[in-house]
Amino acid sequence: MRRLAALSFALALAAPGLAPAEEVVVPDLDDPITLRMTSMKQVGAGMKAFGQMAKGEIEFDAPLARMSLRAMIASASGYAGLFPDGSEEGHETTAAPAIWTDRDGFEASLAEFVADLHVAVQSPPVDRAALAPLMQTLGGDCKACHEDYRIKKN
Amino acid sequence: MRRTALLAVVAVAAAAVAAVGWAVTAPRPLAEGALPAGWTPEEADAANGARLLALGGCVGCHAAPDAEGEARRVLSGGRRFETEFGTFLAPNISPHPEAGIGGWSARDFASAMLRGVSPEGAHYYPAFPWPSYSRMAVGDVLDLWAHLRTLPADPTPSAPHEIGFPWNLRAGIGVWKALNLHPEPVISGLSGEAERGRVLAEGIGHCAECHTPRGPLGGAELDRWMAGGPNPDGPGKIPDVTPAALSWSSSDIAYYLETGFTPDFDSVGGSMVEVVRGTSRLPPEDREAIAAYLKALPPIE
Repeated sequence: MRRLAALSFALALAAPGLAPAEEVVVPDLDDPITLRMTSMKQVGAGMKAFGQMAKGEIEFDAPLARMSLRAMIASASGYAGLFPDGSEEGHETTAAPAIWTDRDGFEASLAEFVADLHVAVQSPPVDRAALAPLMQTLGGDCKACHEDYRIKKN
Repeated sequence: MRRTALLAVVAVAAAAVAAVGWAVTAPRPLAEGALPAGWTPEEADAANGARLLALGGCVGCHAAPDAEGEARRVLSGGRRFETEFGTFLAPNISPHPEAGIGGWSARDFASAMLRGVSPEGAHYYPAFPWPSYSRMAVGDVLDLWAHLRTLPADPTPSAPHEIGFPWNLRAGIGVWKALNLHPEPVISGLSGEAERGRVLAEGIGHCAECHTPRGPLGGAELDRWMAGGPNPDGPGKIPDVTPAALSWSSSDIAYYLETGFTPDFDSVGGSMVEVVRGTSRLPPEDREAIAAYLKALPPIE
């Protein structure tokens, strides 16, 4: 645990004055907090690929879109198990106490995200125009869950 | 015994404040002449009213708790705000003549927004963010008023706040108001896009109500403008959004206010989700103006 903290510190020092392009969380297989952080970052990376294509920063790439959806559904399907009792605090977690006091609501919110991803995986976007409505749906799921079950810490 | 003595001291102090400070702390509704002569709601700019309603997030506080879809147009109140001073309950601001604000005049509404004074002449608690709204232009307040009157009326009565002594003495709000009512711009000397953003962010947008830390009595610390602090309404922290902490580009900020996605495609959370629900409906130039204002803020570590 201490080694992990030291490593994060070293990573922060490695790029003084530079906003890191990607925040790096080092997953510790025995620690659900680092695992869920890694998992959330995976979804963020998928959304970022969508966003860059939607904004025209990169070309639309159908295999990248499909792969992003696969990565997101693989991560999201495991979320519910990554918030066990006893993982309420640590690693500057931004998990809200409501996850543990309103478990049913939290899992229902996750289930909606997984269901929307499932639909998208079955009919993935075929062009750039198809990304906007999909991002609206999936982004809406992110926001809905983060509104109730996530808090700001910094 | 000690408690009784303390209460006596508080009571005497309160009486002294009331006697000496009445002239300073009395509620001051807007003067009759402050509104354009002969103004009627028909003259209002409906699109501007809808835009101000979105940016002001009126719905987030005044719709019924957990209202969704069409129900979010019914501003019947009831949402609870737990604070260190007690629990505030959002009132009914639908156009219902008795339960809501349908019986108000335009001047009543402008006095509530710009002066924090009710039609009965009482001070409002600053849980209703009139310290921000006091910076709005009268014309914008009237456009918002006209738009509110087009929303559905609802007969649900407003519930009283659950506030204990001494915060339940409304005269105390007058003292607070004398200290904390600053209708002038907080960040002065801006121009162009940043100044348009200032009008939106410091006024109806009331960004600073969360993003500026509060002093011991709950007033905004103007020398730490937008530098973040503890969440006034729950666990966690509100981030510093001055350039000292927020390194995003203007277009990153505008995109976040449109979609809720950060440059890393993390997503907005907590009470900011409701804010983005509003800012996503604004014309793009308003989001760009708010971004320009944030980039122009004095950086505060």
